[in-house]
Amino acid sequence: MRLTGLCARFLGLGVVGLAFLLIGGIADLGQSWTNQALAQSGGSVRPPASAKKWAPTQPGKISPKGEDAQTFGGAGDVPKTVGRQPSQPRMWRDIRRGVQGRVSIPNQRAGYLIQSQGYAWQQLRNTKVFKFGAWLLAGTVAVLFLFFVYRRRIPIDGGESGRTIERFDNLERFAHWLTAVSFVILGLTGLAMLYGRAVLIPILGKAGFAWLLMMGKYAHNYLGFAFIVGIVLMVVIWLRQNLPDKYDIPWLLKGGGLITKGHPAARKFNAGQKMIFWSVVVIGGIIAYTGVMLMFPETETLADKQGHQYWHAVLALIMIAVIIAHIYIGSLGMKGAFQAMGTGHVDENWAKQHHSVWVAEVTGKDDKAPAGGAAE
Amino acid sequence: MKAFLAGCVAAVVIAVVAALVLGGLDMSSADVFKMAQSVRL
Repeated sequence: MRLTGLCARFLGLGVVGLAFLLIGGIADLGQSWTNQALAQSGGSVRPPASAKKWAPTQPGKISPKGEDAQTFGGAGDVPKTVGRQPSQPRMWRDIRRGVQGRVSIPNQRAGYLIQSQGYAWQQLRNTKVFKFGAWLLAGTVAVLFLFFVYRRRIPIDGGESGRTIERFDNLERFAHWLTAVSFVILGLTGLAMLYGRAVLIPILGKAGFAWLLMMGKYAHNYLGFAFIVGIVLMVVIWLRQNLPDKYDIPWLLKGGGLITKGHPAARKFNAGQKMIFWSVVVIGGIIAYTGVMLMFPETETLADKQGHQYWHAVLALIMIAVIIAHIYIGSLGMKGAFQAMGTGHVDENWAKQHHSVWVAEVTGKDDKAPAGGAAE
Repeated sequence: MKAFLAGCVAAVVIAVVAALVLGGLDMSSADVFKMAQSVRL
């Protein structure tokens, strides 16, 4: 039995390696789509009309007329700090189109003065991704609130038995909490990066926000590795139990017992929990991959980096929404569920209600559940 | 509770080790500091 378990864990390790290769491939594919979308956004090398102009609106002492007029090949005013130079519209037009100059520092990519796709990426991040995340997270909280109003806290049918059964051992709970703690901090610091200007600056002021974001950036960068270790551990421990089985389709057809009365049978993990597991592994894996790529600026082009940043943000927002729902159903939404990860032991009636097949496997008794089980 | 605390401690330890390793490898993008002495700006 021990040998079988050991083999399963080694198999899990192999699958982790393959999964990360697959995730890398998926991320690169998605990134190439993003790059194409960014490149096609208007096709112009000039910034969109809505882009911020970084130069002052008053052109300073430089006259816009006459032979010294500064055109710089595009929109925008001349900053006050720019001295008089001969007009070089062709040079600036070429720079806007991505012509690379030569530099004497090791990073040859510094030879690009302007990467015009950056304007499209900035607009995408600051408008569409910004709104998508706000609506997604607010919508998730609203749906959960309505669900709570409709269903209240899901009780243990027949009440607590007073007898407990071990649901998760120390290693399982350690892997869960390692991943959970790191993800919560990563999520909060990531949200601060995306929404901090709008939400936190009015509360903390610019200096306070700058300090918080600097600390947040360090935490975000380095805790990312704790999150990766957590994902790998969870795959090694739980992969086999999260493979599809014959109970999943009936469980999904009955909505996991969340909407209707009656609880479908399930093994250790029901179909809802398996969906969360695979979300963490696949979406979390892509988030981890793109995050690591963002940490090493020398390894990719700016366009690659913008694609990685886009997918990192969008998938992280989706992941945060999934985890908010997971936290709800594992604590407030269902009586007796938190003990599974809290103490590792759950009430026997709870276990029979939500994981009747697993209880029969563990105890060797083919007990019928009091009623059946919902997702947690 | 012990598993939760162990998870917190492990997260901090892994983050610190990552910071030390990456800091030691000098992965910063400010590679202007790695310029060869013979290079002139």
